[in-house]
Amino acid sequence: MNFIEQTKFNFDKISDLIFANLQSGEVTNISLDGENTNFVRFNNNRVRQTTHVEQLILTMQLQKKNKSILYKWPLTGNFEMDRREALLKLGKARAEVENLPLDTHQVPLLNRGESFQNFTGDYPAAEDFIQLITAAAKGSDLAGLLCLGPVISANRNSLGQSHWFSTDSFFMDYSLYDGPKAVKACYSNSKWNAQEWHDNLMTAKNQLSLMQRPVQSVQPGSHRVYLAPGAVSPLVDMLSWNALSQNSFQRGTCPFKKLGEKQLQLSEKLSVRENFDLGLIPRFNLLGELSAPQLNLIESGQLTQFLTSSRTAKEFSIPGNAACEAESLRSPEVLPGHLSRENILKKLETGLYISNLHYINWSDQMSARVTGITRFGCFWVEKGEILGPIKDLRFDNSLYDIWGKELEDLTDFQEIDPTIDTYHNRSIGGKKIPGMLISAFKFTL
Amino acid sequence: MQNLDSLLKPIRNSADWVGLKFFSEKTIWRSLRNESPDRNATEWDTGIRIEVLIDGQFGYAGTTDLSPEGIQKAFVSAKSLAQAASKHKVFNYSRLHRPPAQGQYKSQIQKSLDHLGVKEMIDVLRDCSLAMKVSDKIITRSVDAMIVETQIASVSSTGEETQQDFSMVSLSFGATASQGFETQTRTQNGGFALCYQIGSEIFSRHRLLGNCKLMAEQALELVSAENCPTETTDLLLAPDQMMLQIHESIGHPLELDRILGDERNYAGWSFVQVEDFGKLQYGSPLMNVVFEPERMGSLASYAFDEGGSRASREYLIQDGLLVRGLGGTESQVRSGLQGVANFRSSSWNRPPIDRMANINLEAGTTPLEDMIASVERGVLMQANRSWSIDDYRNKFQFGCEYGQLIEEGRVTKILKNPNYRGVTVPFWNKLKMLSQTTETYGTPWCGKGEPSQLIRVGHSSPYCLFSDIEVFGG
Repeated sequence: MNFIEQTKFNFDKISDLIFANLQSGEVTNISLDGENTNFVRFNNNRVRQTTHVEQLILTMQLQKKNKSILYKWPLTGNFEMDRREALLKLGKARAEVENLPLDTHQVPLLNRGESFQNFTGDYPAAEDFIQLITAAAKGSDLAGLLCLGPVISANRNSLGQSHWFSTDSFFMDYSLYDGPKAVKACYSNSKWNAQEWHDNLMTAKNQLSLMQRPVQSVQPGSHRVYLAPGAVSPLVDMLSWNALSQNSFQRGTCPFKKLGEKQLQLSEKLSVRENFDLGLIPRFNLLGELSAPQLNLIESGQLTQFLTSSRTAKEFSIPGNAACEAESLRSPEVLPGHLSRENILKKLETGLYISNLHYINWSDQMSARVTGITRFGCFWVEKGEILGPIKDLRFDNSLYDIWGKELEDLTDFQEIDPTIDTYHNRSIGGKKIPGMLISAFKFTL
Repeated sequence: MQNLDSLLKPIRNSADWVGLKFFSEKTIWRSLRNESPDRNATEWDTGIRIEVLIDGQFGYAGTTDLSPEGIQKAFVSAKSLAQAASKHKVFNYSRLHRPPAQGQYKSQIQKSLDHLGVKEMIDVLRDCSLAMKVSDKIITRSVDAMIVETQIASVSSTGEETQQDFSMVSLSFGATASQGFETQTRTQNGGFALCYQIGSEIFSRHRLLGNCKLMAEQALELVSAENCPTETTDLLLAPDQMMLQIHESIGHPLELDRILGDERNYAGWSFVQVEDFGKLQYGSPLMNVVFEPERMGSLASYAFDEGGSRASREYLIQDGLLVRGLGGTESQVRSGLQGVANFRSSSWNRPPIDRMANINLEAGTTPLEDMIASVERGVLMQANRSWSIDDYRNKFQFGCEYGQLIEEGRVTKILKNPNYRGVTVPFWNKLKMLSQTTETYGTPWCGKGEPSQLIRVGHSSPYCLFSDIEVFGG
């Protein structure tokens, strides 16, 4: 059996064991996050570090008498050891839950059905990948991370629910340097294609050559900008920082509070939805609840709905939409507009072409104002021609402005920006986003 | 704790050098929202990281299968990758770069973390929440506690043998007030800034309730306060904001692996160059910054880093001059610079890299009241709520929860949404006064690395007064 097959077999055995040992009045929800990953870190087109990680993390929520407790621990893959540990943890959870207060917002577990998705991969071994990367990038100053292997997300509960999602893929997230000047790129897929990698690298190298043009001095102030999809991506990430959270809205701390109360609206050109048909992440959340395949959140600038977990729904007696516990986006899509790739520079005319933004944070959360800084390949454009790269600039803008009256258009194409987060474990998912043309974007430093 | 020596024995001679690091961590979460339970969870994380040196290249593999077979399997993976990588290695390392440290460390605490039962702890936290219920305008009261016990044990084929045990608590208390269209949140010293190596003695009503009530009262002040003005003025920063200023504009730019370019694709580079050490006037002559791993109670205290080096106090910036970087043995030998013992990882499933630990700004000589009295016009800011800096660690912007206007040497009014921005070296060269005493805070979530990992850090600082800083409001 391969890693995915073996893990499914072990997960089912351990789950069945836990279910069989429940006492009267107890129900449990069990989730698994697993991976078998090779990481190769590059600097100056050489290998800095290599790491192999095999990890299987089990999360068990026990509900009893309107109280709940959550335990998380690693599986070893050795059934006898895992069996002993699982029974110990169940007993411990049972004892601890007695001492907890009633959880009035607890959502009773239900059987929400079954699903199974497994996406296979076909790519070189990590050892061979090292040669493929460094050979193709010979002569370049490349820094980045190669990450490859299968990733699993699974869920079962004692009422019969069962979900499984596994995928086997790789990404090479990297940047190319010419002294301090740099461009960013990412090649990700489940099937290796040498030509695709070559083309990806050549595109990055071509963009780096533009960085060799004379550096343009740009003063802080308000400028026209084109945000490439790579720059739109971190702005979309801010929506997952309370902006679309129902719980945050109900508690009065939501950056889109005024949007939710219909005091303000965004541009009618802007529509945002969850789109699980992208196939990058499962539809089920930690409780096994299935989101709709597509969930409209912002339509033509107006808020349609917040992301509402079932716990929030219960707390505030409102309908839920199977959002995850954090009420953050899991598979976002920003719908395209009408700006063709060929016309980007022409329509920008004079302003900034921004490929990436860095370290974005709320500067005034209740005004949906964000600050951050430009990064990687960013250029000054005059009369539709790229003159040269710029030094980094800090910005501070309200989303109500840049996605409101200042949003001129979005591109007619979108790009998939894969999730490459590797904190604690390798995350899966991604977003599908266009570029944006904005008529006034304020830079402050 | 595993018998690491017996697990090492079958593989110890199968590479140029082999090390095993055992990590075991238990994290308990207790959270309340408006006195109702929001989260009660316990996470266990146990694993072993196998480290091998082959042909000058270190390779790593992490596993939760702690059987001899599991270790052997992980060893094979680590060795295979390291061998393939050695043909393209960044540097030719040797076993000299893994000194065989020996010794122990244990957090100094008064009462063990399990001294307080589950019900008792939740009762203390609920009382903290109730203490914030000072008005109907306080619409949300949040209380969070993260209680962590960690053991790290190391052995190696050259005789390393260390054991370090940590007892840590991170607390967060927040009150959100709402009045009309205005909403403001006030926390104790910024979210999760109360982070220490400590025992259950921290769960003292005497210690916690008074501040919880004060936070709620200040949240109420903020909803009817004026916006921070937009001007260039004197800026007095409290230690709970200095924490982030030190972290972002001193800690990160001095990490040697950043200076060497390892972090360029993710967290960024640094404006600091190798040749700046010993030459760059980083800040005013009043500025003295230390790497302080032995500071009692601070979150990131320890005895040994994960490269086998014993950790000791060192000046990073002395009288404003940059003197030393934050890098372990690997970065020191690559750069030719002096460093510190800060080669650390988050857990068994990540390789160690250069991480800041306790980075502290030493106290000055001026009483706080004298600092305020010296200000003709300025703003005092407390408790970080927003942080952003560029990838070279130059242009930053910070926001705080609570501001106060200072006019003619007196605090005159409360200000909401206080923010400021600047550029690192010019900013630190505008430091003109420091208070006599320091306060210590930390964060369990400093992020860096590829693959990415979170690490614990601690920062002590006095109140600091800067001149001619750009401040602005919401």
